[in-house]
Amino acid sequence: MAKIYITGIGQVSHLGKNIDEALAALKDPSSENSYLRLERDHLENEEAPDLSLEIDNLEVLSRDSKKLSRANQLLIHVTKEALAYAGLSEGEAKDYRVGVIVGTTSACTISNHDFSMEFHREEAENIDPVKDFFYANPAQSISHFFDLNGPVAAINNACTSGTDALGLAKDWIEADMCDIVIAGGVDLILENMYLGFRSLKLFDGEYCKPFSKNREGLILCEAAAMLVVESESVSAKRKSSPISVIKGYGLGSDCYHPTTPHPEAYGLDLAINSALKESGIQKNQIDLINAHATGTPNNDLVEGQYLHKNFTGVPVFGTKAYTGHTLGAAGALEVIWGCLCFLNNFIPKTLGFEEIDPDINLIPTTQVMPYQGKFFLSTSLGFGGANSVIILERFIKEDTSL
Amino acid sequence: MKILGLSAITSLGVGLEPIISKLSNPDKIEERAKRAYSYRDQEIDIFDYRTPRFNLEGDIPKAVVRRLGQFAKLSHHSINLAIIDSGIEFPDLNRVGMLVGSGIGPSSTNHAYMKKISQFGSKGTSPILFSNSLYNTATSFNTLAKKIHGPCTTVSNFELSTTLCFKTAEQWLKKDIVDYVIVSIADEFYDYLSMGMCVERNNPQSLYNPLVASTKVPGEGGVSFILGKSDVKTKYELEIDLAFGSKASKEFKFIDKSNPLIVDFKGEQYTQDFIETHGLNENLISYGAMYGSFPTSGAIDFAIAIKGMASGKVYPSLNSSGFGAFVEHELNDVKILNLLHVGNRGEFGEIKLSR
Repeated sequence: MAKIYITGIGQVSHLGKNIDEALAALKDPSSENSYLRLERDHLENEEAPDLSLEIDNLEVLSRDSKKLSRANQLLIHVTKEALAYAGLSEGEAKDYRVGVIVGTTSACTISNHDFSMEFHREEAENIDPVKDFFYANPAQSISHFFDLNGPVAAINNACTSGTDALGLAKDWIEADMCDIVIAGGVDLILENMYLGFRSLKLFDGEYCKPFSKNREGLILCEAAAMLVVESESVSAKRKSSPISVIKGYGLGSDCYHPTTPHPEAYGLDLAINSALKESGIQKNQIDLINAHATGTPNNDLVEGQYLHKNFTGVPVFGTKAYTGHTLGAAGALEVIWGCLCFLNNFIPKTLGFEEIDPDINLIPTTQVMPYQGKFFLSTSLGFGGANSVIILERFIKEDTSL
Repeated sequence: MKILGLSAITSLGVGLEPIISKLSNPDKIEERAKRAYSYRDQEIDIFDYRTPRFNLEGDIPKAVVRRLGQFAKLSHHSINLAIIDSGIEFPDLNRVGMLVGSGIGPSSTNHAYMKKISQFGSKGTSPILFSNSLYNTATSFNTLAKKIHGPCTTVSNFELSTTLCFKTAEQWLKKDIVDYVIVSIADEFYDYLSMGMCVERNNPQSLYNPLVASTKVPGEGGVSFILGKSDVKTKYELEIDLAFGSKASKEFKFIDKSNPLIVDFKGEQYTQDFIETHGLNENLISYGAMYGSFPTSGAIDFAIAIKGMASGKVYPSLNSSGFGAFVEHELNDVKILNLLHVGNRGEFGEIKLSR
């Protein structure tokens, strides 16, 4: 089977508005600003806090001169960075079948937030903007904005959506549906998401504390992340520089509870074994793990126990104290962190981990560490019992001079 | 990849039988009731294609059913019926996958939730409304109810969710990560979205015609298919080929005019272009007048095509508006049938069904 490469990355999150800023923050987590913190009273307030990131010059128009939704503006921002990273100009993209896959939990359901709130209070002057919904599918908007010519889909698989977008990108290329796929995820944290999660009593009052005994829950924040994925042959033809290889991808369902993971990580186990099988590697070859690690009591208990038992001694890190839980973007964002580990030979510190939980016994990374390993595994667990796992291999350029 | 079973819930009722029956007796299609929709001082009458009430079969507790949104209900019930049609009992639920495709998803439930939040703030939220407002609500409920442990995901694309789900299912089966895949395509009716579609022209039609750009008659429905590997025995012995294109050429040169062609258009410009270049194609077929314009309608076309083609039959078209030449009588001994789904921006999916 031909290799599938990641050749471009772009992101915006609480860690920074581009890859360089995120890398700097991950390599130096000493600053108090590294934490995504909320005031504890956010759990009591009637209104949702503003969880949008400050980004200069974000506003962009579609090809139809209509203002795009904020989700699509964030996506365009990160897609431009990913395309530049991959050395794929808009002109060159027209020579290839370029698909787009965007993972999102909710981004396409509110295309115009201000209108939506006015409309539902029956204060909107007319109903016309309701039709914007039809043009707000993030994958279709990105394909249209960059005038790309390949299939498009949004993946709505709760918090595994970003990982699933990348797994599907691999499938699409292997099925010869396209040459290149721009894949990733986005989510905004608007009232519907914030208050919905709060109604489920899943929040921490201050910041995320992955695997820590004193963890209380998650913190949400908006983000977008996109990656350029291409086949080995297209990469060779374009002379692009691969960052890593998407080695395997697996999915598994818990069938246990709408919002609680299976206590024995049934679906996660299926997903990991499926990804290992597709990768053609053994469990003991995995040398670095990014955990979903939302900081909720149930997720971290189930995931932490599973990882501790099955991957003893393998460094595990979680990044949601830096970024918050970014929902549909999380999986894609965390694959980018894996790429940065390969490129910069380091493992991030698990910010927010403070105290070992004896029920889990997992100690994630407590400081920035060197990394020279080869196989990176990232887990995503979502509502509805969805579990997704992706395995990356470090790209090592073959010496063709011999 | 083989189709083992299929079914649907449409405005005509539960199952595919009401559709097939009406295709055989088109005169019996009754005009639907007109409903008035209003927002402040805007008002419009719409002849919408909503599904009649139906009861979820199976052993799902009533309290659970009460909490389910219409989107999940449409998907779940059509899956129940498709499984019955297939006659299958899945031997290993770890080797069964599920793909739910949609265009507008649980749009009505989502807006009901937003309405509560906009009016009552945090007091308007509820975990039930919240979870039903998300696109993955149907996948989540279906996997729990059916104990499906294999790969499960939700794909949204306004026009091409059917072809995308089938292509993904085909890939899962080829890679041998599953033995069976349930593909379920569904959309929930939303009053104001429908009103937004229709109010622009202030010219609501009673019958939808996908080849007349100015008709927009919204609807809802759910269609499900049980798919297996190519070596399984099934009553639907058909080959399926799937293809995608990003921009349909103005002339639609790729269309093979020698085979019957079922069309489902969502884009106005491309509808116009198609009519100009292919309007006189005598093999043209459209069933949309039976169930309206919404993302799932392409999947209903596909289900009708499969039901007929399993015995070499193609049901006659329902459109007789003068726009385009349409197959007026049932065709028999058909070896190849094509379906074309075209989106607003020219993206298209093609399905070729061969006996």
